[in-house]
Amino acid sequence: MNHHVPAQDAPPVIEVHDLSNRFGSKTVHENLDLCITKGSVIALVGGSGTGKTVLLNNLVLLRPPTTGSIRLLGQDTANLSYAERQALQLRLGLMFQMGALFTSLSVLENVCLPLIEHTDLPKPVREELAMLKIRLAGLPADAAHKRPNELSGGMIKRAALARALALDPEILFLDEPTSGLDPVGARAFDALVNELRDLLGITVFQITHDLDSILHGVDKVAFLARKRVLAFAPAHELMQSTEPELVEYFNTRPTQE
Amino acid sequence: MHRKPSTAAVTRSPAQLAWQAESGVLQAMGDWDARGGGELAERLEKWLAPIPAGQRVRLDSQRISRMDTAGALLLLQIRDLLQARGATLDLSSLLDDQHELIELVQRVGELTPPSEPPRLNPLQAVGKTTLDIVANAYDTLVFLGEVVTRTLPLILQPWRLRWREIINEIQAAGSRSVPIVALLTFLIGVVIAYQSGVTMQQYGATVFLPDMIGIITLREMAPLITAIVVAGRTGSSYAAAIGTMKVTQEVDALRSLAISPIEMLVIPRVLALAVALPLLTVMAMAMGLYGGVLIAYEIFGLDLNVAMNRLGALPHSHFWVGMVKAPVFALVIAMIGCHEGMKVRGSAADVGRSTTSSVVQAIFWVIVIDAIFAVMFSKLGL
Repeated sequence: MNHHVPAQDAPPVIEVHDLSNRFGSKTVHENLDLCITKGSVIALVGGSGTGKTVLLNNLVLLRPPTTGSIRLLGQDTANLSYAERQALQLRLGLMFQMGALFTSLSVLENVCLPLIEHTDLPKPVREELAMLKIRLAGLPADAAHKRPNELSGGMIKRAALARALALDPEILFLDEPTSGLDPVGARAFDALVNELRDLLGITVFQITHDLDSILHGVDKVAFLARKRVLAFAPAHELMQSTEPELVEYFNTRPTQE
Repeated sequence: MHRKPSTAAVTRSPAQLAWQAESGVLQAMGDWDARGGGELAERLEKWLAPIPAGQRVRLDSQRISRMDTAGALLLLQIRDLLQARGATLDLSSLLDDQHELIELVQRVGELTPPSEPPRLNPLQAVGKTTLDIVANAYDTLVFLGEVVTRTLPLILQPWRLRWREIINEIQAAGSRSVPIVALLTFLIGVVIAYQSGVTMQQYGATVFLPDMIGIITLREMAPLITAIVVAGRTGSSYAAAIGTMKVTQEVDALRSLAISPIEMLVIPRVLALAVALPLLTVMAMAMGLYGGVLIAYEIFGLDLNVAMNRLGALPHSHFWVGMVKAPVFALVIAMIGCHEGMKVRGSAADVGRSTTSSVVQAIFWVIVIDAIFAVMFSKLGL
């Protein structure tokens, strides 16, 4: 596989500065900074309750942070008009943890939906484009007319990935993409994500608990602890760290080498 | 062009083609992506029409501002269309990453979606519908049988009933329905008394107004209105609650813990409604009579003592005819609601369909059973 490491001078696509999230009196994030360059595959890692999903929701514009600034693809997200915000959202792809496929639609219709809503493409082109994404996500062609309740867990993840890719997003957000997959399926999914990054030049930002993904599937790991990104470095460097949270996280998990 | 892209915040220029006949160059311009390519894709044949057959066409891609897989797909379609006419398209001017996109699309290969599974022919459709109806009827019988066989032993050993759930359900289905049932039956009592009073007055027969209000309210109006309100309010909530539990696999979880979902979810609801609905009906009767007598007194000047005497002189059978129906309606409404909930399979849309269906079926059966009761009581001379 042509596994290219993103150039150091690649432009930043996600810039988070001084972000904080508070729920009532509970502070989840404080003074959180993060900068992700184009074309990298990043894992967001942290214990339960460290606010991984909250941060993801901030980044995909589903929930504004309490304070702080987020720049996506060079655009400040704080004071977007409705139209600007929608235009920006079209450049982001999000795959939900449970897939969140529309149960009343077939896989093909799920992938076609964003194309119907946001493009003028005629139906045959739309369907070919959707089939391209379905095949790229690793589903067989005959899955196209199946309903979500006829799919296995792994196929649901792949169909959700195909829908997230429908409009060729520039940043792809994945919420625990390999959870619930068997080890072989999980490694295949990691390889698929890396391949898509190489082929389409997308930036990939994923929440994961899968140590194999963290060690082998991503370029850098953002480790959330003490209400901020405690460390942001390739996994093998994090394993050398002496920070107590990192030591605990990486040493209490059995590695399958 | 039936639909515009939903946003136009970023300046965009749609994908375009320009044919330069003298140099044999096909110039591509604009955004060759999913959102910019719509117009071009729609009229591709027209754009390519001026290119003569057998021509060697060179693509000039310098003015393509952006390209994604949709653009690559379009370029490949253009190449195929030209090839079909014996012309060739030279794609060498594309940048490296654009070439990679083209290769990506080519590598995936066949992109036409597989044909949808064939529809049934009319005869098969009739057969399938019939089998569905039979299977559905069988399901209903199985459900009915299961509820009955599990309820009977519990009723003989009442200490094994889930009293806490039953009380909660009585609270939810009964006391919280009191305001709406009271208001509706009161208003209908008013309307019946007023409408019939006007006619009776012409014959000087307003003294019979209490008899009429009493018979209609006790025998028909109160039990029926209460059942219909409860079917809409409580039956639907049973279907939605149990249906959602099916979707989230909570029902399977109960089974895996060796707890019968029928005992846990269905029987408490059925028993609770069988208690709550008759109680609501008594209140509905009182409110209907109150509304009617109020109109007889206020509008038609009937003496209150006379009115109460006439009401008191009615045979008690009218009250019991109404009361016999209430628990039957309750069983029907609760069983239909729970059964529709248990029928949900997997999807969120199913929950909505089941909820609607539970209300429609419950009201349908309430009215049909009411009619059967009417015929039965008239044969019995009650």
